[in-house]
Amino acid sequence: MDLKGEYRIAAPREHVWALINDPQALRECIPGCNSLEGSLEDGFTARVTTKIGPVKATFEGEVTLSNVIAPESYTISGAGKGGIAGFAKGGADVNLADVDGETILTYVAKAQVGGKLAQLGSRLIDSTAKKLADEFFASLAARAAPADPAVAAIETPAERPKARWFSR
Amino acid sequence: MGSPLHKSTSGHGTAVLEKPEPAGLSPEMELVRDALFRHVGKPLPRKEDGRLITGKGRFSDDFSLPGQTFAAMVRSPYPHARILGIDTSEALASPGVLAVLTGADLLADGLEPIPHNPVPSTKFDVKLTAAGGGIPFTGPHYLLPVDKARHVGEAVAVVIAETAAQAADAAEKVFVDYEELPHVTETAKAALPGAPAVWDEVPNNVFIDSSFGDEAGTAAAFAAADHVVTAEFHIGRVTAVPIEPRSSLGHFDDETGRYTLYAGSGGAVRQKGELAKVLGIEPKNLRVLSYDVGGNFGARNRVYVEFGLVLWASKKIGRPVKYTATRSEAFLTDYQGRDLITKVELALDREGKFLAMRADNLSNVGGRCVSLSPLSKGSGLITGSYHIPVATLRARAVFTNTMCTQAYRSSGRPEVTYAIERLVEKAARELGFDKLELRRKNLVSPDMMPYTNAVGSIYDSGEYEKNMDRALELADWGGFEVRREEAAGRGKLLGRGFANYVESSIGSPKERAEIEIKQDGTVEVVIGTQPSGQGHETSFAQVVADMIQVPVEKVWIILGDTDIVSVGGGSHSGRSMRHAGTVMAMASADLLKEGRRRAAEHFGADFDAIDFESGHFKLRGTNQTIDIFTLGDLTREKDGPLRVARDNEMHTPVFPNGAAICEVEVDPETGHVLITSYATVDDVGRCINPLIVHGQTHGGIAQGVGQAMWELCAVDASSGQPLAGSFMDYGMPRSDNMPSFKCEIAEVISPTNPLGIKAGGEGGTTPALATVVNAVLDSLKDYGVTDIDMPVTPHAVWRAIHQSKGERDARAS
Repeated sequence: MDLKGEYRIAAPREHVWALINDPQALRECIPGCNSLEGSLEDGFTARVTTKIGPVKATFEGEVTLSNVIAPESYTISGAGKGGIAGFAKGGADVNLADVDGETILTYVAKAQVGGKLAQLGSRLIDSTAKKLADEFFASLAARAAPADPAVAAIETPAERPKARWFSR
Repeated sequence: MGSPLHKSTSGHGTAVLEKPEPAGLSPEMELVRDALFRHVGKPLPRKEDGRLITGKGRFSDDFSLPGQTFAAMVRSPYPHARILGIDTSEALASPGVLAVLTGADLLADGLEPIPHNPVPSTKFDVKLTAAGGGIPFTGPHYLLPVDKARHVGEAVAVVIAETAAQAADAAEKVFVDYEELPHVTETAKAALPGAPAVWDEVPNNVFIDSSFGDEAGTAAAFAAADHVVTAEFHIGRVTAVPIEPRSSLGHFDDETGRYTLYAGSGGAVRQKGELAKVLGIEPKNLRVLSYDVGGNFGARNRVYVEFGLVLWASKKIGRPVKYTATRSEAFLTDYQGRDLITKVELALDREGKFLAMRADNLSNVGGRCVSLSPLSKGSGLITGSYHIPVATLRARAVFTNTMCTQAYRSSGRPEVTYAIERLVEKAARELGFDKLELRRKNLVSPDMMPYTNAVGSIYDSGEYEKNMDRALELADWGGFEVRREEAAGRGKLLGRGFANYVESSIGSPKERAEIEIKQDGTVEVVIGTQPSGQGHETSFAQVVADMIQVPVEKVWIILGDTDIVSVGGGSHSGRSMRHAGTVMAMASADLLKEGRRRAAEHFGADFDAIDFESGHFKLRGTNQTIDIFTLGDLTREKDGPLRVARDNEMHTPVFPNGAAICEVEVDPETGHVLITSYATVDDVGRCINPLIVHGQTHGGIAQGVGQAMWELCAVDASSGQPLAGSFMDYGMPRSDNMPSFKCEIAEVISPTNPLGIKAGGEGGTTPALATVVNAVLDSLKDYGVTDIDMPVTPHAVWRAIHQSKGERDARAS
């Protein structure tokens, strides 16, 4: 499953780039992130609590940045183990485009889960992942231009995970 | 309704009341048989129900022992992963944790794999081999794997703690270093070249590849045929969903050196034998208790790893260990059922006579092979109820990264019945025959019995066309058009589906019965079958009571404790009444013989001068009588208790058969399918308790309909993750989505056993998949829909309607 999104942020691209490379900012923007330690170079260890349907789990895992082309794009990937709840892994290709002094952030994300999460929450995973990705990028965008109320998600119907339960 | 042997819910029947005439029965055996034939067939309410519905059942989890601890499993979240290492230190340091055990510990202790013996062994089972005829590699089943996890949910470590919650918490702290490997979960894909190998020993995953029948003759018949019809079906994966999740309590007694296991199963004797081998101990040092069991359907016939783990762990920590599966664990790791891909071809002449058949069956056994029963049983029955002179079959089995499959209610037979009944229907549609007439023209007729089918199965007896006629009457087949028009007036599509079936019932050949006349005026019967809702305590008591002519309330059936029950094949394959009934009859005859001997001595008369009537031994020509209990008391001191033990072995299979009809109403707007009527005629041979047989048929229908309509162990092929882990995603048959059934029992007495019994536990299930899908296709025929996969969920039906609409629109434009 691919999730896509696009945000217009009223801040210059270098500013946004610095932000999405700032561990402190990442920690505050990853939904449910309790801790994020490490460095850009060596990757981070993260602890994230999330709830998918009836399963609430704390995931411990790695967050790494790759394919870094400053100040344009990178790939952020994470893989976490949630104990008996199973595992989740995912990543997003993030791209920043400079448009008239502002920044268009686009992402294409993938998510995969296993274990109890898949057995109990499979019908909810697409919508949950979409929600979490949106929350993450919306927080980043809000941080980049906190003063500007115009920051908003550009409507992105791209490959909506529409009612996946319907296809089973 | 003249005869007392005639049982029917609707007042009509097809019973044939001829007695079998096996030669050489002893006078007592004849007496017993005559008594049985006079008295059985009463719809006695079940003895066990009062206990079960008032919470007084003794299920495995109801047992607790002082000092008991609890086990939790660490299960693989990956479908296929190498175990590089397991770090147990954090779990061991957690509160209440007593031990964490892994596959490495198990090897160090010298535990053996579970000896499942998956290749069926009776001489009537079809012989399955590896390609080229060799002994197949079936994959060792250790209690915990030592190399790789081969399916999601496989237990890779076990945590023992003071409480269940502590064990579950600590299980989360066991860190398994997995190396994820490429996986394959789909049946057909696993057999393709280049698929990831589940076992290095079998690089192409296909570990069984056998051919049967007359290949050259079949090829010649196909070459000469006027018509050939082909089809391919996938009968998907389902699970048994017993109401009681599996549970086990193990205890090792240091003083006696004996293990005790409380674990509900399909037969305690088998569990004892196999678990003793796993532990490397003498069978006498293991006692297995299996009392009330909340549903089996095949899933509980084989040993579960957790049963061995609690025994092993209890010895290691010196305290009893209990494990009870959660519902999630049951969905994930109960032995599952079906999962067969079958390609079938039928050759016909101009008049519609069947000339030959070809089948290619591929069975998905999961991560290791626990049982080949489904593939084997189905292989012998590919030609169904029809006379097809020549046939050939290729039977293969394949490993995949999924939970293991096992025999599941009517193992292998619903699959092949589905294939032949849908193929015949397809032939009728494509070649322009009436679907019932085409069947009639080709049915095996009574004068052909015993009939040897083209792959070597010998059908013992049956009146197939009579079943068909009676089922058509029961279902009011002739009145369908009126009902269809009425439904059409409401915008609904009415469809009807028909299927004949014949199945085989073989089962473990050995059974033993012990009967004792007790001092307290009761009769105790010890038997090695294991009910899980079939009502043995009633029907077996009925058999013995009738044979030794005592009131049924006085007879008590003792099951499920291997210290008392030493031999017994358990309950599966429709074997219980046939095997247990027969051996109980033999034991009753022995008991009466011993009784006559003692009575003769008591009266100071000749053995031959003693008759047995109405529960009394009688000196012929006098009015001197003595009842069996008094005789037992009077002779106890001199001769010991009036008690017999009898062993019996029966290998000859029987072939229950019948016909079933389903009517469905489909809403073309939503695709919703409603079953409006369901009728069956089942030839079970001699019927002991029609109330229980009807109950079995009803449950059997629901189970077959469930697979056709809702049930599926869905797996996401790309990630290998099972998706149906709860009742949210696994649809079940329920009383509110089933109609009231019209069931009738036909009794064509089997000549293969003294009581003439066939079997009654699986006939409801066998044709149900075919009848439901045939009915749904019939309802959609105006839309040009000719095929649909199970389960026929609203979405599947809706999609079929719209796909065919789209195709028609495309053709029209």
